[in-house]
Amino acid sequence: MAAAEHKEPNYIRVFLAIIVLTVAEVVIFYLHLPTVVMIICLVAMALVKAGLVAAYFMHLALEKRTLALIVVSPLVLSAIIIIGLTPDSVFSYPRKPPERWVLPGEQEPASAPNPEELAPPAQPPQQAPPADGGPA
Amino acid sequence: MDHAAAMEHPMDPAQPSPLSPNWGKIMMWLFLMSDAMSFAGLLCAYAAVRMSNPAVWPVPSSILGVPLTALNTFILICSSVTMVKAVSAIQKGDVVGLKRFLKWTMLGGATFLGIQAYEWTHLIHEGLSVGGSLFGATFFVLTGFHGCHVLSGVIYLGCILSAAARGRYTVHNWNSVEIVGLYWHFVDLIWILVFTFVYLI
Repeated sequence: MAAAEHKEPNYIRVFLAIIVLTVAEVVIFYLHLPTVVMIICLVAMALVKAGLVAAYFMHLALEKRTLALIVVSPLVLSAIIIIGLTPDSVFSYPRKPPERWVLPGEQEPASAPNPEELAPPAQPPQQAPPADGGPA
Repeated sequence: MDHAAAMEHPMDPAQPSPLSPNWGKIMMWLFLMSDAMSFAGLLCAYAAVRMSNPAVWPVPSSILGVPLTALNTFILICSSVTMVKAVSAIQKGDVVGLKRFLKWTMLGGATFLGIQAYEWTHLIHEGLSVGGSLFGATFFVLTGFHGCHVLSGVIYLGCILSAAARGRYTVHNWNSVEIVGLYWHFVDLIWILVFTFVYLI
């Protein structure tokens, strides 16, 4: 435990920085900036605040560099999850699953029954209202 | 050198174990990383559900009270500061200061929970529910999961406080206090993100 003796960070200064960022966040929120600008500012500030807490309150900046590496690397993976989910959630609403999966190298069968062609004229009105995304 | 002799020392004593001397701290970091993955999953789900339903998603601040929650954020950050004060007190051997700052930290956590309970009651009376809308479902799951962490943290701090009252911690023995501090700061860190993503954006 004597090995853990290290220079103590100035906690009050870190605290003030976090408070200033929090106030700035709320101010930005009430300024009604364009949405994209607001989101970028808020996310950047939140990440800085979270980084300050981890680095100084949780002593990550004062531990061995390996620990910080272990802690930060999985978070990169979760960022990849977000990036991977974005196309699905933004561009595909509403989507119907295909009637039949066509695998690479496989020709779409010309004789496959196309439900829209085969369907009697009364069918489209039934399909027309796609799920409206749940309760309003 | 036969095999038996080699088997007597499967671990090379010259190699430091990755778990000593602060194995408790490393275990807490391990737990916090898996917990961070839970929260990352919930936040990703929140983002995905919200982005795929822009037509029905309300502006969060039209339903939630931002000023009250900003106050709550402030309280939680303050309790994080009293937590670092508690750790730095026992590192100097000041048991009285440790107990005082632990009590302040617990008070901060309990106040946070009280304000959140008030907020939830208010929202439920206004008709927001888990089953009623996607917004309600994600809101209650995210803040509720975090609230459970705060509640566990207050109980955990209570255990450490009672051990401190029995004189368990000294200037040479304060690992457990530092570890509860790690947990508490993590809860604070998560709230900073939840506040931004759920309330402000």
